[in-house]
Amino acid sequence: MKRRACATILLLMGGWVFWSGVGYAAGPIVIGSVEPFSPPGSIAQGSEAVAGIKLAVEMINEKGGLLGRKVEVKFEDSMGIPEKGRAATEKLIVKEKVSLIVGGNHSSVCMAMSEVAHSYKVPFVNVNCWADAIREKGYEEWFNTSVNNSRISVGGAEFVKSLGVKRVVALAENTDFGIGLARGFQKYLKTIAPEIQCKYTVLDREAKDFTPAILELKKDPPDVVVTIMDPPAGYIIINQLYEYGVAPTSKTLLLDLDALAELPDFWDNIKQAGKYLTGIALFHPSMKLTDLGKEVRKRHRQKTGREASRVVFQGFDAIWLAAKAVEKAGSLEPDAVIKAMREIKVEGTRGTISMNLEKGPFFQQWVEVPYSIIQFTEVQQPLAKAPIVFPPEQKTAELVRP
Amino acid sequence: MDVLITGIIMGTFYALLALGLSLIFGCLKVVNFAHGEFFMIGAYVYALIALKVGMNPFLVLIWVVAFGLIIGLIVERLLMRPLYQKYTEWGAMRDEYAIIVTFGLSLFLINLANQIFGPYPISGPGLMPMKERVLLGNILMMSSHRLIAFCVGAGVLIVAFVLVRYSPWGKIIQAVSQNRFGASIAGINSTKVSSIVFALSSALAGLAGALLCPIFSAEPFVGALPAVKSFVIVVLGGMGSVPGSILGAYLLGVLEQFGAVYISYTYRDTFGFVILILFLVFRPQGLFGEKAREV
Repeated sequence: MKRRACATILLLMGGWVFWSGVGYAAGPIVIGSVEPFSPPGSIAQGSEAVAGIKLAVEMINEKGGLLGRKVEVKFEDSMGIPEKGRAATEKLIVKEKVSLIVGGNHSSVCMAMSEVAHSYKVPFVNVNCWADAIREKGYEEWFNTSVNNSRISVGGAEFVKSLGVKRVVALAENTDFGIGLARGFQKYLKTIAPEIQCKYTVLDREAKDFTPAILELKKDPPDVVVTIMDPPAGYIIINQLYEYGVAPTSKTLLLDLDALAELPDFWDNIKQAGKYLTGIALFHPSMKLTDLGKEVRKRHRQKTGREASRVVFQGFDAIWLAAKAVEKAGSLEPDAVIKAMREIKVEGTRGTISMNLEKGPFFQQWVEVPYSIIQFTEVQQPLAKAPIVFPPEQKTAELVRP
Repeated sequence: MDVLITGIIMGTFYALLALGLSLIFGCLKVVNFAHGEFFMIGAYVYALIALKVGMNPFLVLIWVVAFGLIIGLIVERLLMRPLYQKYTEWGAMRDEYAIIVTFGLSLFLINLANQIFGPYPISGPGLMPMKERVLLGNILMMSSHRLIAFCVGAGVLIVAFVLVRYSPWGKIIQAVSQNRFGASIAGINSTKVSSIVFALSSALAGLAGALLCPIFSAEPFVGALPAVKSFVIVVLGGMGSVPGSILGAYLLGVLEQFGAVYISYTYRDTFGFVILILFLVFRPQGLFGEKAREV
């Protein structure tokens, strides 16, 4: 009787072990991810990135995992604070023993995390940190599927030049991303259109009332006001610019260079101030997607009932690139993965991703991140219906003023 | 002139928040670190009722005040009262307990809001549609919401001030603030008074949050900065002084705006702290506070 009971227990245990590990040769490959899940970080963007990362893991595991092993992701909270991001990265590497890391929101956090990844020599794929300064460090462990400030600066400046305006003021948040992008935008605009006067003002991203800065503009409104601020400050300043009658008006155009228009809570927070707003969009539903991108878009819509934002695609692309590099390397050995990531060409959601190896702001960066400038012509207008006003080859309508 | 007007408007919202903090300190001798989170709760209650139920925003303000009173009563009963009920004299109470409790409550409420409402900011509708703007004397254009919110805020401030200063209930609050033990001997139920004061200040903070919700958006961390400013104001005005906190709020509101426009926007939040340091050095009792020494 005792023997039979023991045999039954052993059989059950054996069965459990077999079924729980079915299809996988060994334990899971653990990938780390650091995103902001608490204030003052942009929780909205962190959540969107996580949605993309989880979709990628789901699709990788459906195809048998990586190197015959299941993939798992350990998430840590950066809170949008550099020292928290640094500690979270170190914890993932030292305690969780992750093989590689994807993630990052807020450039100042990525600046701190890149130091940890570099010192431990762990490959890191950046999801949504735009500052050029991170790329300019030239760390071989650091890869960027996220767009960078230089790319956005070029897009914004080319658009402003096309307007034939005389004076531009940029309002940028006090972070590496904000100041870096404002400087890059100003510098590039000066190069391509020296006749346009451009200055920028740095604002506190934790502030709630921007009245004094807006009253300054009210005295002598410029032709274009450019906002470079993450939510919620980005939403607040757009509302206050409208409230005080500074922009958008028939004289002053409002241009958002933080791609806020793609975020799911944009219209919950902007309302009337969003009408006539122009903004850079790194994803627009009429933009061309790869087959993989179409699948991601479909799955995201099924899961959430919402259109995927560009951060979802960025999260997906980051881990997808990392997974393909591991496959090519055939191991998790950092040098091999880094070498593979530098050489590989991967079909991502919005195009073929490859890394530029020239030192500078585009070092180990996917250069051709697609973008467009859209304009909302109605309140609560879905992004899919917002016309593209720049660049000319994508243009679907002329720019409209109030 | 436009700078002065916007300074006075911001000062009114600061005053609503600081008045409650000052009352709590005066009556309970507790520095409430969770005061900003009552502001946050007010903003969420306003946004959610107005958006989900579709109620008239003016009626929603009444609900916000009622909700603030209830939350204040609950928090006072569960968390504050155990701190002081055994003591007849405030000097015997351990201040650090109150700091730990209110600080813990602040963190708890922020994280609770994050869990319940999610990460996305929510902007409530204006008391008037946000697209309607008014031009004040050809000097300053602003949303009619901001103007009406200012009028509501100023009206509530005046009523609160008159009640605390001149009504029989206000005199009871003043008595408890001056000497809790003495007030008890005179037959005043100081526990009940403390409870009402806490509820009232919670309602005032909630109202400030609701009035600013269409401008600032409700999100878990929205109360942090206004709360810091109200601490500065309470010290400027004199700890526990009602007229002091109102005057301090207007002083800070106007000073911030002028400093930001005429000196530098970058140091906007620094001006308040510079004034605070000057006060702490040259007039530590604040504008209306009295010099005191405890033995």
